[in-house]
Amino acid sequence: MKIKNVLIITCILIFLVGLIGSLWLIFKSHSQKVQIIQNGEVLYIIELEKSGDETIEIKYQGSKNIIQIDNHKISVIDADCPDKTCVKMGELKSSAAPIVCLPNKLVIKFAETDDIDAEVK
Amino acid sequence: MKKIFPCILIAGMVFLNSCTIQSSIFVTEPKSKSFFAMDTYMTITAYGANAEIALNQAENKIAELEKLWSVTDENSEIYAINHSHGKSIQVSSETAELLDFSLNISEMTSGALDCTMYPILTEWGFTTSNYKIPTDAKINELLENTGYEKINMNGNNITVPKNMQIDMGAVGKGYTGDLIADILRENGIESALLDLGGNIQTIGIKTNGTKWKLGLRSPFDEGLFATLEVSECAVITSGGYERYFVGDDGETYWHILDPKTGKPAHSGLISVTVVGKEGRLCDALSTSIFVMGLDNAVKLWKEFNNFEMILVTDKDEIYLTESIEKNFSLNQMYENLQVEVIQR
Repeated sequence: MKIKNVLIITCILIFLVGLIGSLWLIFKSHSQKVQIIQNGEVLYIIELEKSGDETIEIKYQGSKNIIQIDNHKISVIDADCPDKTCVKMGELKSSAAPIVCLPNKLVIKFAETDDIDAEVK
Repeated sequence: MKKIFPCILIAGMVFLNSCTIQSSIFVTEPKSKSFFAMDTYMTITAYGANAEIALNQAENKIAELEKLWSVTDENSEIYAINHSHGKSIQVSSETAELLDFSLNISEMTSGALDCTMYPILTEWGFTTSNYKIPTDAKINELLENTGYEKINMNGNNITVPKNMQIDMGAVGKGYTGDLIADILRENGIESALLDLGGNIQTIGIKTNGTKWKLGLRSPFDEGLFATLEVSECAVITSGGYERYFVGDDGETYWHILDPKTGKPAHSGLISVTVVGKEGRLCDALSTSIFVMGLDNAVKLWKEFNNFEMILVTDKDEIYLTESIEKNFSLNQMYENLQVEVIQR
């Protein structure tokens, strides 16, 4: 009788650990860590969920990009490169599509990957 | 007592199941390398014991190819050809193969792809970002010195007539993808994702046993209009949204020129995605089909049978070839787009 009880309790424990583990993996907050990288060097790591609104100016060989964090979303709002592709890209949405400024060698991307493996463009 | 064992079994299964939800925790971590090259931002991700060595070799190879094919680098082979004043230039086998391939596609597409458009691209400002609308007279004058059929190839010796210039922009990155995939395979890599500035090439499937899931950039906005699941292939898109400017006349002018007119191609297609085994073919065909339009694209697809495609028209329609229908899904926000499947 005692052994049976121990086994039942063991069962329940394994079940609960499994259940809690599953729920944790499914619902664990996708920490929205964003890296700002220039020419291969990580300048900033920003946790968007915790970050307040701010603007960051990044200089590169006499030119600059202005990065804005607004309501936990990050985007480049101004750049002095001719095509302004980085500004046109808008807010960073997916790990498959980093914001890139080619002339200023700037990349803004999520540190973790999401559902899509890559963006074809 | 007998009832206990099924209990343990079920509990154990739930436990294991919770582990497999994120099975990636238990498989080899990928190695990834990102860098700027060929005027774009590249990321290569590879799984396997030799991944790190393979990625270093890949980055070096890309730098080497860029040195051969850059239009602006005075030491490149393309620069030498463009400044040869009509003399024959001997080039590396890589450059010769690339040019030979490009000329074959020009033949195959009746000139929809033409590597001699560089001076006209420059006149529009697409190579410098100093955009302007050239006059018809200027375009006609420059068109005199274009035409892929005027290029002469004798083995690795290339002759381009005086006042003509070539660039490998429409095939170079696709060809690079093929050469890099070869390097990774030689290093025993069986699973890898190459993102060469939005040109995607995959080796094998993902290590969790599923296909690679690719988002297709919407030509209407910054979003992804569809997802495509693929394995062991290249996926390359050409679209008017990649590089364009709005003229003083309010018109949008994009960088894909029709070699016949020297002006931005208006075939009714606004985005062309080509899926196939070879990056070079996908790269070259995505540009050519953008120029050729829907009807000629369908003819080409039926005739050659070596690629698949997803076309978006300026009337909000999507045409896709039958073999990739099962791997294609529209994203929720774009469900208003009408999808037609092209049958063989």
